[in-house]
Amino acid sequence: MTFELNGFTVRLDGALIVNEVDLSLSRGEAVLIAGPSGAGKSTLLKSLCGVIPKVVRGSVSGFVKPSLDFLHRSSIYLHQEPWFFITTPYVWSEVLSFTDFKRLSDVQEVLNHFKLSRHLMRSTYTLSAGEVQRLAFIIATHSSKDLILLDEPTAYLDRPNADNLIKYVKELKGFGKSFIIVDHDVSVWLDVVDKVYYMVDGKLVEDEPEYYSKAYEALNDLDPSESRDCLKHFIFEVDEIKFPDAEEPLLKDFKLEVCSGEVVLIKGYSGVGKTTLLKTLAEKSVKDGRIKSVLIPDNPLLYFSGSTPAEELNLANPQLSSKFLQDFGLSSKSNIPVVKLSTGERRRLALASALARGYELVFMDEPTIGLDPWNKYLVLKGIKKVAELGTGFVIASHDEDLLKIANEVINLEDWR
Amino acid sequence: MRIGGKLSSLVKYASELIIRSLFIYGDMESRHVPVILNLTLLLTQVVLVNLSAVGSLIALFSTLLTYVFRGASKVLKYASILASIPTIWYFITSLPFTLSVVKSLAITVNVFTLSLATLAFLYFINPIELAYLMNRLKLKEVSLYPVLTWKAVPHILKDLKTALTIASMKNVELWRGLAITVVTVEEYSQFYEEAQHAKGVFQPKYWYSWRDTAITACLVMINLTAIYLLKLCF
Repeated sequence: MTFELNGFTVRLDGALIVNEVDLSLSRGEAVLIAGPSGAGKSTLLKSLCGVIPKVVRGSVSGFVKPSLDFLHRSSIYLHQEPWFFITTPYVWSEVLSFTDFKRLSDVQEVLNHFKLSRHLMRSTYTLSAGEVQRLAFIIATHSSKDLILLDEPTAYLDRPNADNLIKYVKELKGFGKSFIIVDHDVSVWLDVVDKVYYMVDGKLVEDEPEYYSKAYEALNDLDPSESRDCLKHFIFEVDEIKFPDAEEPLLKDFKLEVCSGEVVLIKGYSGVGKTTLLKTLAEKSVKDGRIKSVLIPDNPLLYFSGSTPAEELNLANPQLSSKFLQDFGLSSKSNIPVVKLSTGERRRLALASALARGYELVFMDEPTIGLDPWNKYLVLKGIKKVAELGTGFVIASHDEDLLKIANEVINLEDWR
Repeated sequence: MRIGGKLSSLVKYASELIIRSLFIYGDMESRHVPVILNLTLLLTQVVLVNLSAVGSLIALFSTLLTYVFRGASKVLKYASILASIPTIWYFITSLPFTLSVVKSLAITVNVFTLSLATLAFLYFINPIELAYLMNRLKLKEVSLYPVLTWKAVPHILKDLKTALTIASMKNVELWRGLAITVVTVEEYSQFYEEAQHAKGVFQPKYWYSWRDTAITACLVMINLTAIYLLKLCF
């Protein structure tokens, strides 16, 4: 698989998203593209595999060798939200239907490599985000396509699983597969990729933009909130938590104490039950009714009650809505539909809304998934800001950066 | 708001029941029986219900046996509760017309049996088999629909539950939770279209379980015998 792009340009609704990109890739090569959210990374991948213009309306121009049609036919694109890549309801059927595997024993073997073999007959809907991401990766890398476009393939993975996936990419390069990878974390890919590019305002550049070092510096300067007040605290006791389709309980006799203004991080490998525990605690809190609490899910869109940021915050606190919009950097987006906001903006709006509503406790699931370093910093700073005003947080995440603002860490692996 | 809260709990509970009675448990041998046989079983149960009160009881017994002998006992509880929803509704609404508790109870048994039998049919059919058959019949274009439906419905129901939980926590109207679920589903349809377009070719593979096919065939035979005997007697 060898191809070359010169002056490759993509426009969506007339707006220039990918601007005169030059890129070439040989058989068995891999390139990594990093860059801030909205820079055009995913748009580039989608136009290489034909999603743009065949599914999403847009125009693609520039020189493509051998041809754009050839690229469309030879590539497979792993969407950044892996759930939507999975088609069938069972793990075995997903692998057998979309790869060249002929027998269940072969499927079992490849699943085993990604620690998924015990899920062979399981319903794909019940898999955790990390398990879905690994399954999607298996499909993408075992199809007949030679060019594999991976959009944030490690976003939902814990460190060991991410390392395993990256190592696998390295092995596949040896078999002639070519990769274009979009990821925010450059350092983990350095041993595997042949070139690293950054995408800034639709252009590909080789030098790391100043933006990155500033974002990492800001992230490193974060520290936990000092306004923890344990005179006011909330206690949750859970006798037993079970996955609905499991025989054995996930947790037994679990007790959690959260102080006012404290950030508690629930961590653990993907599939350990972090989200299940978080949702159980949130449901318990609703039933109990004594604590004013709210859940911000990993898809923050589900949190909103208003159709625009202004309406969301007006419903929460009409007097202070413009102040909250300003504080969370959303003033310029106040009247655009919430569906048009980026993931980082959605998370910040949810935090602003939680603060405006005066919750004592916020349950938050994977608040930094898919965010570039600067947006991650903004969200973590937002959490810290709300915590310093006395709100307690219970956060489920595998992201190590959350340790920077956590007052207490619960490792679910120790409970199993 | 209190009525909204109760309604929200009811919708969440119903969603959970649908998930548990149809989607949550993975694939198993009993889902590898020809769809035509599953359909025949359902049809014999419908015929039995229409024959007489005794026929109804036989159909109910046959449906219970279907769950037990085909390894789905754990689903029976949730399916029974779900089937009770239309049953209770029919019992209450039929009373003013029949003016007889006995007649209304007879209608109730029929409705419960048919609901439970339909849920069993939906539980045991395998969307992969439907896709496999469509592919064999050169209907490749539409073969993705049954599998994507089976994949997407529980996903959407789970999000509906989450949105309603959040609406309760935020103390906002129920419709706001429903509205954001609709918006989310719209976004999902775009993502599904994008992700599925650039995936490989869908070539479903499937196998049949002889053991479970034999069990289902036996159940069909029992029902057919009961239909014959009932027709002979009445």
